Amino acid sequence: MKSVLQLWGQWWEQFWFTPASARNLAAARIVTAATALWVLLSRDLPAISGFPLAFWSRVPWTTQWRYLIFPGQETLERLLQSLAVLALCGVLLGCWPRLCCFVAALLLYHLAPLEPILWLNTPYLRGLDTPLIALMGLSLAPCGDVWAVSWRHRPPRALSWRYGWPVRLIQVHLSAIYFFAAYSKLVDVGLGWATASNMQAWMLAFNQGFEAKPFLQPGLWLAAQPLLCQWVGIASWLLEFGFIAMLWSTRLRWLLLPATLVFHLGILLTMNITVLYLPFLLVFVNWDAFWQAVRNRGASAANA
Amino acid sequence: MNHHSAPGEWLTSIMKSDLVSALLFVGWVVIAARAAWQDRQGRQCRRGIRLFLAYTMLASLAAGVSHREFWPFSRWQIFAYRYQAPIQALQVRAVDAWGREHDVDRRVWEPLSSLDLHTWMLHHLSALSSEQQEVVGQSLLQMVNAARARVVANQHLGVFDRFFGPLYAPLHVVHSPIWRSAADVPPTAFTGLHIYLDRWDVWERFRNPAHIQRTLVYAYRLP
Repeated sequence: MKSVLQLWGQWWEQFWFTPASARNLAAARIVTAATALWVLLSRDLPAISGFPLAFWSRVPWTTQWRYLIFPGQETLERLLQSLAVLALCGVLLGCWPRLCCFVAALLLYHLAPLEPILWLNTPYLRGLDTPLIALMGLSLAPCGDVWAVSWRHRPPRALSWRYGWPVRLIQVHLSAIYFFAAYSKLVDVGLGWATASNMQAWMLAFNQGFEAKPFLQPGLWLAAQPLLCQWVGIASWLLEFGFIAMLWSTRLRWLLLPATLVFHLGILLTMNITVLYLPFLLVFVNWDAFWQAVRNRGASAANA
Repeated sequence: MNHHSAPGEWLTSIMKSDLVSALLFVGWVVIAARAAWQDRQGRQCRRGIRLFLAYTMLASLAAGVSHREFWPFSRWQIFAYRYQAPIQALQVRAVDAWGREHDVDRRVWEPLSSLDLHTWMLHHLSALSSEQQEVVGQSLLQMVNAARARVVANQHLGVFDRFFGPLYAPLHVVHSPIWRSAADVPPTAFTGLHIYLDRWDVWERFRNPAHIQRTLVYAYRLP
């Protein structure tokens, strides 16, 4: 009889190292680089370094040393941001992708905390956490074997364990976001989180402030529907806890991926809140199968 | 970070979290670099990857289960709150030469988001020395007046959309622009700022929108 440890080892190997296609890995590389570039170039992080020292006076020295961020270094930060953009372009195009992934991951670790650093020592939920984890994983895999312009191009292996695990890593990371979001609601608030009154109160809170918002009426309307609010709470919890099932069931992805998009659209319309890790849902798509289908259709059309 | 604890306690907890997180990150990078090196040498590559994956999983699980931030390993404590009155929100209002108050377009604060700026002010503004508060007031008023001048000159406001236009990566909390043309701002420069703390109960305000407790927490006036 196999020991528990052996079974665990077997499961671990199968989960991470099942042979996979180079195209899915390349798609993950492109999604990661494009998302990181989109977020990075939609902010002006170096400018925060140039703020007067009074703004920086409450930033602990440990936070500054942790990220190697110091006030008054705007020119240096601009240089580092340019390097990060260059490295991410390398990742996107597949030029020296592994080196570029590693450099970009280190630079994002340094740059991302600039956004909230004046009051918070962690830039979580600001769009660069998932790219950082993904880039570090991609730096250890042959992510430039296809869909790349690299002049050191190598012919891709048919299926290899080397292509699968980084995609798995991103999928697991994304699942952890949803799982721990649900878990923390359960631990911090309890079952009362999903009650109609709690949902209604938050709908009102997000729509009563003085700041002008793009969507106001949907949230106020929903706040006046207690039964619907109750269902919104329960459905949110089910989706967040259920998201992890996509790691094992490709069939469930057909249901859960659209449901997740609807979930976030609903949050945007009723609370004016967005999340920037949404593009990473694309790593749950089987791009290899999609590519084959397109090629087969093209071949059939040519034969006809 | 819990800003409601005593200041010394709060600072110690941040410093501890910084130290542990930094060590975790350095360990992660070293393990990744070692795996890459082993792969390059063509030996024990899978072993290095296994260690990298195990480390990443353990760090992520530790952050999630313990509810502690070890960024880039996060706890993902998203919206895990029970509503408790009162809601608190800061509001910055610009004062014109006639003493009238005006709401400020959120793009004025870019590269900061209004959420970051307001939260920073809520937690730290009162702890600054009067000279530091003066510098902050002056800087913010300069930002407001520079933005007003751009709107009057029919120029673009904000920096976040400079590359991607309306398709730029949105902030966590989305706002609408309110300074769209010269008619939305006063004809002369602002002369001061009023920073208010608003508190309200959502249910009371639902019944009566005017049911808000407003306190002036800081006022800046051009010398």
